[in-house]
Amino acid sequence: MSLPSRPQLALVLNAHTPYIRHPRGKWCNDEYWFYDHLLDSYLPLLDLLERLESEGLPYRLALSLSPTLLEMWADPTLQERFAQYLERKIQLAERERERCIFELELSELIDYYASRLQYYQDKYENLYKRQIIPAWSDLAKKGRLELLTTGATSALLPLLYPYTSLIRAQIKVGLETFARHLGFRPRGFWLPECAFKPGLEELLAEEGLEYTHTTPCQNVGSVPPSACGGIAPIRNANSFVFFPNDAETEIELWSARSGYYTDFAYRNATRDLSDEWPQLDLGDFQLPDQERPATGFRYFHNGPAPENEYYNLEEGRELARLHAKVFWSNRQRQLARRPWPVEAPPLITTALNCEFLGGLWYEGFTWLEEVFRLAAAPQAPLELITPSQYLEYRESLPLAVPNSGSWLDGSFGARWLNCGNDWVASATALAANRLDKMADLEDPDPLMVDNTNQALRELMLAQACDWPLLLSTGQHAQTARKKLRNHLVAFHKLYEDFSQGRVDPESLRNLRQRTPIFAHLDYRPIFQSERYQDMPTSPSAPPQPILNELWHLKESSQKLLELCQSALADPSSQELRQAISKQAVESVGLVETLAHSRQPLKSLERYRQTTLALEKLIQQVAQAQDSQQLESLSSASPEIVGAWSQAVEALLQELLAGREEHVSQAT
Amino acid sequence: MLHRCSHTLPWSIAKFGQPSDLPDVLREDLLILLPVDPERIFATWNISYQTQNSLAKILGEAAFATSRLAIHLDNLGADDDCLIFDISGPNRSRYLSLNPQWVRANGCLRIYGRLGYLLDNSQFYAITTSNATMMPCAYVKAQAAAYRQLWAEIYPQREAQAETPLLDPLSSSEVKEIDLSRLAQSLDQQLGRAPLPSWLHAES
Repeated sequence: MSLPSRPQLALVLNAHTPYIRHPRGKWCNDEYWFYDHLLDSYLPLLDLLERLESEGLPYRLALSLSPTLLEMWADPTLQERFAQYLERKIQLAERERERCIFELELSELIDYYASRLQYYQDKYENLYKRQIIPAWSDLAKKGRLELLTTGATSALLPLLYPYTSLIRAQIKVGLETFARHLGFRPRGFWLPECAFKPGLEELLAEEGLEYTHTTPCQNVGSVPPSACGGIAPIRNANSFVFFPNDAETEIELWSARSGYYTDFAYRNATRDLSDEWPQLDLGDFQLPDQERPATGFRYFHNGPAPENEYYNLEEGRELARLHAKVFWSNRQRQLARRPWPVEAPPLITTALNCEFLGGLWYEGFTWLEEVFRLAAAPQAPLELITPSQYLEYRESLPLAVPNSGSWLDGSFGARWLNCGNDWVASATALAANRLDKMADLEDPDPLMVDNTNQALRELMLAQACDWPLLLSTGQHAQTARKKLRNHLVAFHKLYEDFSQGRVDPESLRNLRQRTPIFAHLDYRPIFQSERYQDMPTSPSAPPQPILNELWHLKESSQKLLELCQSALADPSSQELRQAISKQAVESVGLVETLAHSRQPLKSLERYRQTTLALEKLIQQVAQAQDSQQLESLSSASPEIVGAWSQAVEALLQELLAGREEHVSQAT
Repeated sequence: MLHRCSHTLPWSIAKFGQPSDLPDVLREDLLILLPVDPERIFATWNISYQTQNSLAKILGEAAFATSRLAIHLDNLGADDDCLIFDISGPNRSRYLSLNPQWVRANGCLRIYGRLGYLLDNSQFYAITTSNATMMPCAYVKAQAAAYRQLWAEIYPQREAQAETPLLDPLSSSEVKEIDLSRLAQSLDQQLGRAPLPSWLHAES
């Protein structure tokens, strides 16, 4: 294998929108996220790549499409609503044209927005026929675009431990959904928020996946410590590869202080028409309850407020092209500055959220196109590749496994586990425990299978990493709370139906209609595999039954004591004596049951002896011939009864301590 | 009888933002540990009423009432190394700070926990065990600090809070966390009960 002459650059975009779908006939602000992303990011990216493809430009790009996004793209209800959304926006553009007819600068910008809307409406309706997934598939087949996927609902996988069944569900359902829509399975997997924990790579490799992306910090702290310092990819013993996202490029592109998109000439992403002109009537674009969604009509640039200079589209685009050249030049300097530590071509992996381009950075796709053109130029110093192309060098990569972490908060999980959102982790862990019981049911009927499938669906939707992140940042926290509540309440309703053995088909149908996602989900193959990892015993394990048995033993012993005391008071009662014998046999039997699978109990023999002594005392009291004999037996009885009580106590203590040792040994 | 381990409330306190109509009481005993960073672990648990009743019968009502709900954390790499946290109170989750000597620069710290009741005579009755979890290594944190100087959030409104250690906007003054340890101490004093033993590790 000969190494290529040029260093490599891999561009990876992650496209994801949380699953939001309201019942028919209801428009909501949060559903606009999907429409805005589709109009501002996904359609422009598709348009760009198709244009480059038609020019024959040899670009290379890796794009992760989340399963929830694929399902929403394919949903006829959301397709219809997006078409209506486009129509309403075009009407709003017309109103704006009329309102701003005398403001020349603004008119040009509004004309651009209107023509862009009509362009994408035409493409969406007439070219794609509202189905954009086949367009992505066609691009992928041409070889320049590599598609990967992520978890089914983008749950933060390390937070699902120890329930590996749920981690498998995220991976399997994600891959199956991707394969169903696109017709093939990907080689790579995008970890949601790059959140990784050692052991996850084995679960990914089980499904035939070959690589994923991590943060540089995770690779730096790898086990064993890697000589690559977080720069080069690493692989585990089974050649599963971890590509570190480059920190320098992320800072150049994403940083809120110094990222490219903060430049003054770029369009301001926050000053929207609906906020800047709050009295303006938005017509049909306004939501039924007078809520004003973001319209996407933004007229100002990034300069400090209250600057009212309008945004200039051409200046913004020119700057984006300049920033592409700066980016290109910086990558060359970056590679020249640090020595490449492995026997494989130097590689920089730049990862971005797809919604960032076209959203927060409106000119992002102009930048991307310019980067592709610079890479395609003759004698370009860097070569664009996709991650799976780099896999041919995997045998040269050092052996290591990244450490735990994610790509926010100094690489740990504080954004998903803090005082504002940790109730989510508790609630989903408890729900996972319940789902386990539902999956344990043997030979369920079809209705019960559907019930459990829907429960899994609701739990997976509640586990999306978007919700705790929104709670943590405070943005759209109300939406996040509402979604979590709806999914968890639905889950627990399904569990209650399961535990009563009575599934309501009507209620199940309603829930299914509300979340028509992952139609082919089946929990059974997922839960057949190993359910837990890192568990000394399963969560609902034996400490509970042993405690009950101990309680029964104590109850039985208590009853025996009461009977003996009654018999001492009334020695003539044969009934009492028979009851005592029966109780004594039961008590000893309980002890034998508890003790038979464990090491010999030191206090067992003493317990047996004192129980026999007690029984013998009762018999002697019953057979006493005269009052003197009876008195002497009665005076000895406290000592015998006391010895027996102490023996019971000692036995209980030893059984409890033995249970702890048993648990310790199991770990 | 007033129970120390649950104080005056038999149900857990809902956290800020938590929906009130989620089931509060489950019939299972559960302890789950999730690492937050190399020094902290998030513990969430549930103890069924059946278990509580069973234990009250075994131990006796008086002993059970004065017992403390505790988590016993074991370092799987070192046999006798353990930490005990008093988690008495109406909450069902807590952040536990690990012993600084446990926090490793490199390599893997594996810990697991046992949830149970700690009697006044220092006897610990385990109810259930947790998963054995691997903690992130501290070396990553040191490296992350270097990146953090250059790294900033992409949401502009978060910039002002970028220097604050806690990134959660909901833990500002509008949300008051009940100080459970102080509540526990004052209740112990009022009822004349023995205070927390000195070797019992204070949780965060």
